[in-house]
Amino acid sequence: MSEKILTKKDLSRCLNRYVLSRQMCFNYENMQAGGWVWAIYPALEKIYGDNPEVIKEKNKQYFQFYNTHPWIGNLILGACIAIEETKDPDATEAALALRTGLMGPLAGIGDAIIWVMFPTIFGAIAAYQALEGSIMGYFIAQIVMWIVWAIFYFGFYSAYNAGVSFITSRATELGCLTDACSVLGLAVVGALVASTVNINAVLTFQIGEVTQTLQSMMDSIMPKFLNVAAVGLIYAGLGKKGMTTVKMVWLIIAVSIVLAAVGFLG
Amino acid sequence: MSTMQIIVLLVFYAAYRFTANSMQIFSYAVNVMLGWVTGIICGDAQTGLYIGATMTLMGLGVGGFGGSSVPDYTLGTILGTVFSITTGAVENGLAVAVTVSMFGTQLDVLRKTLGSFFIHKAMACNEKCDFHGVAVWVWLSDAMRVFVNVLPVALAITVGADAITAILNAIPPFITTGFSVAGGILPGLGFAILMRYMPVQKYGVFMILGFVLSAYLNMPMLAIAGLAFVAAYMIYQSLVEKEKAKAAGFGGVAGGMEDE
Repeated sequence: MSEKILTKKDLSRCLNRYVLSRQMCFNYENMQAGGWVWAIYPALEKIYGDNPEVIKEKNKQYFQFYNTHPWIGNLILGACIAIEETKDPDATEAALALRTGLMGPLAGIGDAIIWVMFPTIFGAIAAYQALEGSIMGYFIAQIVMWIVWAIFYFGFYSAYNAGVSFITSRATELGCLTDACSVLGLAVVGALVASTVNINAVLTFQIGEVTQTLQSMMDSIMPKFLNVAAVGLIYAGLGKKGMTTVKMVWLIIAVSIVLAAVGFLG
Repeated sequence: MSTMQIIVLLVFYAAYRFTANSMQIFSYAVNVMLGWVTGIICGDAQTGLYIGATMTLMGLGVGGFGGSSVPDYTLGTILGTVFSITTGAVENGLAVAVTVSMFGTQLDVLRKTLGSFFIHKAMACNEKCDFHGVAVWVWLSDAMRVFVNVLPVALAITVGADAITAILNAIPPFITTGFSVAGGILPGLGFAILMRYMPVQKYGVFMILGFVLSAYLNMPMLAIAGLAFVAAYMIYQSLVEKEKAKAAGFGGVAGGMEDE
């Protein structure tokens, strides 16, 4: 390893810039590349400050397509800065290869855990308590969020120190952890399907002398039967080709209006 | 709304919007907070909490992954809360909230399309080694983004308020009932999306555990999460053990090869 050029202060400047800019200038051509170029500049300036032409060429390469989970991007940036610091002539090619190679898989993990699992579980808890008039559930969700956020914020320094090897060294542990998180997540989702989905069948039947509601009939099969049926149908629907989240939202609204209008749900 | 209330609300929403894109320091259940604060500004925190909670449930699991655009439930929360309080009817507010959230999808596409203009300006500055210019254009794009997001709120609560109230009063009741039914079902979309991301085939049986504890035993959520944590911990332990055993096995084989 060559000598250290960057001080802790230089690194912090890059990190704090990145936190401010990681999705700035988002566009359909190179997505998050604009924010990255602004964020990595203090490091490039320190390393190649006497030669703006070199920085220009490096920026041009970093303007290539880039898109990942913003929080996990901290780690990729840390590793890329460590590569740039070697002043190797091919450093930017290596950093770009790392950036492009990691952005997809890490975004996959990040989206699944940081954007779907935690916010779904803690969002449901927060919303449930808020419906009962309490803000406490929100504060729990917020604290959890800040902890996860901070882990990836400080993870930048670990990624810088470990350089390229940072993700491979922890790969198996990470896999086990993801599996364990899934178990926790799925159990909570099962509970949330019962408690936060709210569907009422208002249809009534006249059977002989007795008037029975559809809801009570279904509850006698299984409590929250309609919740399970709805989630099951949506889950299956999402697996259909060409189905997107937005289309599904529209579909649910349309079906709800129709079923409410004919007096089935209310 | 008074002018003061309008200004405070717009400044608050713009500030939130600035943090929302890159810093993302408020992201989980954020609509609960936005509804609550909007409610406080408009003088009715409870209604704000209700709208925010409903929007949070609708938006569960919905995220703009990989640059895609999804309904903007924060826009819905702000306007839904305002119109619930000003018209005095929560169903009205909910109808506004759902509709403008869907409209927010298009706003997101718009600002990402406009982003191309700014990135080309920034790249042109880089060609001239004008790194300050790169910074200026990157930041200008963010001013544009916040403007695009806040403008509809500003219009809706100032010049558009009468028009929106008139439209609301003209909506037939079965539509508003339909929206509240959708509000009850949409959390299910969040769980379905989450299930698509998770190993349902491998660990789906744990969903039955959670469902039974909640639907049949009416156990509170945190208690269920506690039990699920115990299960997750045990599975983590056994997986790590297995991996270690596997690694040791491979190590032995590799050692044997080296000897030859």
